[in-house]
Amino acid sequence: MTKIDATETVVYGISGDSQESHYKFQEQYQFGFPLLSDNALAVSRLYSSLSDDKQKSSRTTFVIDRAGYVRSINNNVNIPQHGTEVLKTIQSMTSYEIKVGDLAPDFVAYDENGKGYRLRDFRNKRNVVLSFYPMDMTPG
Amino acid sequence: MSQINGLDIQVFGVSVQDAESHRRFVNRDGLNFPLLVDVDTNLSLLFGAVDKVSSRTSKRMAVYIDVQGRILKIEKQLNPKTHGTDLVDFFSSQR
Repeated sequence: MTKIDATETVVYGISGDSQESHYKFQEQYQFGFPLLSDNALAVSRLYSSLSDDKQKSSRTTFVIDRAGYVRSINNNVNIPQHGTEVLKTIQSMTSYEIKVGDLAPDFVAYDENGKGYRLRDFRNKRNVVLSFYPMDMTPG
Repeated sequence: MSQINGLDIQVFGVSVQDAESHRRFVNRDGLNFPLLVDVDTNLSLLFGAVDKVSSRTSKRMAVYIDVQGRILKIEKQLNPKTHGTDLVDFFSSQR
């Protein structure tokens, strides 16, 4: 867990089992991350992660970035190596570098008056310049 | 800035300060382009303006994106004093 912690990622296990069942499971294995109880399978349904008989969650791992975008969906989870796999996924996300010639990654952001902008909305309309600067009240 | 509008360039300033700080900056300097609020450094991370997750201040840099959404240029040696005219010159030279 500590290597994943270092990437500023929080991990949750989630299934349709009860809190009591989770408690026992946690007692036995000491996972080091919380187990969420999705009793009505509402979250599992939202993420299209139900078993074929729709009675349980299916085994799927989602990695969600800090902006709230889903960046990776893994429904072929290999349990013994899963932690290492997840770590690799997170590291490849955070070491991603923009390059000239690539499509700029889409984003939604808000200005000083709360007006929202989506990069994709400028497509075929305007060029866009993003000028990053360290601090307000400085030139540039 | 009318020149910039004539060239169809949308300029955004981006930094990690909050909206109130941005408003003060816009009002003080009469800025005529929006300042995006990046308090959680999401945008800065996405475009490489911070080195790693734990950095909390953006570097000074600019990303030029064309109308197709492609990255044309990543300017890391940015001169704040000439940035406005530099970016107009750059897009003019692309036409």
